[in-house]
Amino acid sequence: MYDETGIAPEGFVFRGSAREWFGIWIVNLVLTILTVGIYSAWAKVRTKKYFAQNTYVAGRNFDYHATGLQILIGRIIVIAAIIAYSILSQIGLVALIMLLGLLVAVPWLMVRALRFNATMHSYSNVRFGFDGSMGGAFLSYMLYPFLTALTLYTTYPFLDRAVKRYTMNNHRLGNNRFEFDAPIGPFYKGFLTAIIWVAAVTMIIAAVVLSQIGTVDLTTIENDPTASLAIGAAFYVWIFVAFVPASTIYGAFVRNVTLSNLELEGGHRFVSNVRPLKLVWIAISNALITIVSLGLMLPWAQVRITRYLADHTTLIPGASLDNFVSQMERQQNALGDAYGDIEGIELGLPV
Amino acid sequence: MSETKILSGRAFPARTSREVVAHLQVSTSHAELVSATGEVLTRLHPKDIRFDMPIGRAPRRTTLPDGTLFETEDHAGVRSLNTRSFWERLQTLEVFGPRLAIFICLAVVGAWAIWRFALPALVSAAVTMTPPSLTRAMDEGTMRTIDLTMADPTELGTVRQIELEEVFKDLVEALPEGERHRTYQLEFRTMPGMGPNAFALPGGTVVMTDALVNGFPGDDVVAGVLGHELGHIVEAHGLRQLYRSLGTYVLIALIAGDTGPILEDVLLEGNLLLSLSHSRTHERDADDFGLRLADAAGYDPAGLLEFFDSLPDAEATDGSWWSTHPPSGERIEAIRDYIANR
Repeated sequence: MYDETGIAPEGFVFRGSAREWFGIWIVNLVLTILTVGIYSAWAKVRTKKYFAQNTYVAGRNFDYHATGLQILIGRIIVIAAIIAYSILSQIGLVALIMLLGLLVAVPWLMVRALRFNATMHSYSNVRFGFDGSMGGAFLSYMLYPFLTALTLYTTYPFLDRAVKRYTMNNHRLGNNRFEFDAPIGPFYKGFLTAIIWVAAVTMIIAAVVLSQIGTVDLTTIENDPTASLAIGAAFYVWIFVAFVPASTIYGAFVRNVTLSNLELEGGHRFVSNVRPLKLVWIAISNALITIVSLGLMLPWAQVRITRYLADHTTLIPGASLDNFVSQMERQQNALGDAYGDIEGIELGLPV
Repeated sequence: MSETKILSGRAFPARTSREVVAHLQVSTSHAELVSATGEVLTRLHPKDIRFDMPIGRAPRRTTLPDGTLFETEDHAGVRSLNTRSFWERLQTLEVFGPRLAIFICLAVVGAWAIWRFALPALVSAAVTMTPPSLTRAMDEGTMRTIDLTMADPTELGTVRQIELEEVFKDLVEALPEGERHRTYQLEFRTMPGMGPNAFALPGGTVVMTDALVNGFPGDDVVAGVLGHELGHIVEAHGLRQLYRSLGTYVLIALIAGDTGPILEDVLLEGNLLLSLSHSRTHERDADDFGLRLADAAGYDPAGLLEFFDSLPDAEATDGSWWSTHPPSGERIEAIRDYIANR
C-alpha cells in the first residue's frame, strides 16, 4: 500500500533476541549487586541502549545517549534530597513550608525528567526534544489528577487525554514537532471495555464464591480463621484477575488511539493496532513464566512484549526520512530523570 | 607502513538524519571517511576514533570530531582498531553460553543475600527516618477510612472508657524511656464482623472493639491485649511490613529492571501477601513485649492467656504459612513459659 507521496509504510522492527539480552541482563544484575547498586546506573544505560539500538524503522535505529555517570549523579542527588526532606520535616513548621515547595518542585522535576529523557534519545542521528512548560506539568500531573479524583475517576479518560496532549504536543524530533489530538470517544471506549471486564470477572468470582458458601455453615464463619482467610484470598484473586488486566486493556486502547492520532511535522503519521486481549495474554503469561523461572525468564518476557508492540506499530512517512535536523541542545543533567525513575514515570518513545 | 583497515557502513552528517553509504579507512597515521561515490567526507587522526560501548550485535557507532556519526556492523573490524576497552571485555562475558551459569549462581546468591541482609537493614533505616508527623497523618487517614467503611461509634459508657484509658496510661508509663515521645492514643469502635479484636496503627493509635471490652471485663486481659498492640507500635511492625513490601518492589525494579504490565502489579500487591508470613514473627514478638509491659505495669500476665484460652478451637487452628497469626496453641505455650520463668 502506497500513499500519495509514493513512500511505503514502514513497520517498527525489534531485532533484539532473548538469548543475547539474557547475557547482558544477568551481567548487569550481578555487577549491580556486587557494586552495592552503584553499577545500576550503567546497567540502566546498557538496557536503554540495547532496546533503542535494536528498534528499527525504515532500516534506521534509535539510540540512547545518557552516560552512567549522569544517571548516577542524578540518583545521588535525589536520594540526598529525600533524606534531607525526611530529616527537615521532623520540624513541624519547616514541613509545612516544604509541602508548599513540593507544589513547585514536582512540576519542575517532571519537566526536567521529560526533557532529559527526550534529548537522550535519538533516531537516525537526530535527537528528540521536549519543550513543555512547568504550568502545563502542574495542570497535567497535579491539578487535573486532583479534579479527576473529585469526580470519583469517572472522568479519567479526560485526564489521560490531557496528559497525552501535554506530553505528545511538546515533543519533537529535531526541529519537527509532534502533534496529537483525538476525540474523547475512543478513550471512553477503552474505559468502558475495562469496566465491562471488571464486571464480568466480578460476576464469575461471585458465582463461584456463592456456590462454595452453600457448603459452609454461615454461623461458624465469623469464628473460623480458615474461612476468613479464604475470603481474604478470594479478595486478592479478585483484585488480580479483575483490575490488573483491566488496566492493561485500557492501556492498549489508549496506545492505539494515541499513536494513530499522532503526527510528526512533515506529514509523518503512525498506526498502532495492538489487540487488547492479546496484550493481556502476553502480560499474564509473561508474569507467570517469570515467576515460575524465579525471574530468569524476565529477559525473554521483555523481548517478547517489546517485539509484539513493535510489530503492531507502523510509521507512514509523509516525506523522506533524510530531512530531520537536530536542534542545538543545552546541557542536560540527569536530576529530573532520576526523579522520574523513582516516581515510575513512563514516557518517551512510541515503542 | 602497515595495512589500511576498511570498515564499511553508513554515515550521518552532523546533526542530520541524512543517510550516506560510506566507509572508514584507517591507517596508523591518518584516517578518512569516504562515501560510496569516492568523495572524502572528513579526514581525522586515528586516535580520534572512539566507538561507543558495544551492546550485543547492535551496530557499532562513533561520532567523529566534526560531528559526523559513523555506524558499522563490522564488529571484528572495530575490535581490531582499538585496544580493548572495559566495555569490550564485558561484552565477551555477556555472550550466551555455559559461562553464564556462573553469573546465574552469583545472581541467585546475591539476591538471597540482599533479601536476607540488605533489605532488613534498609527497612530499619527507613523506619528511623520516618517523621512522627507522617505516621500520625497516616493514622488519621486510616481511622477516617475505617470509620467510613467498617466501624460505628462506640457504645461503651464514659465511665468504662475512662477505666480502660487508665489501664492504657499505666502501660504507656511503663514503656522504656526512649519510647514515650510518641503520642499514644486509645480509640473505641463498634466493628461488626471483627469480633473481639484490637489493632495498632504505626503512629501510636490503638483501637479496641466493643466486643473485646464487653467479652473480657478484667483489666488484666485488657492490659495483656493492649500491651501486645503497643508492642507492634514500639517495634514499628506495621511500618516494617509496609517498607518491606515497598523495598522489595523498588529493589526488584532497580536490579532486574522493568517487569512489564501485570507482573509489576503482582509484585506490588503480592509482596503484601508474602509479608503476612513474616508477620507471624511479629505476633510472637508483640506477645513477648506485651507480657513484659503488662507485668512491669503491675498487671497479671496471665490475662493474655485468658484471652487466648477463650478463643474457639484454639488448639485446632492450623498455622498454614499464609495465616497472619501463629497458631494460638503455640502462643499459649510461650505465654505459659514466660509466666513460669518470670
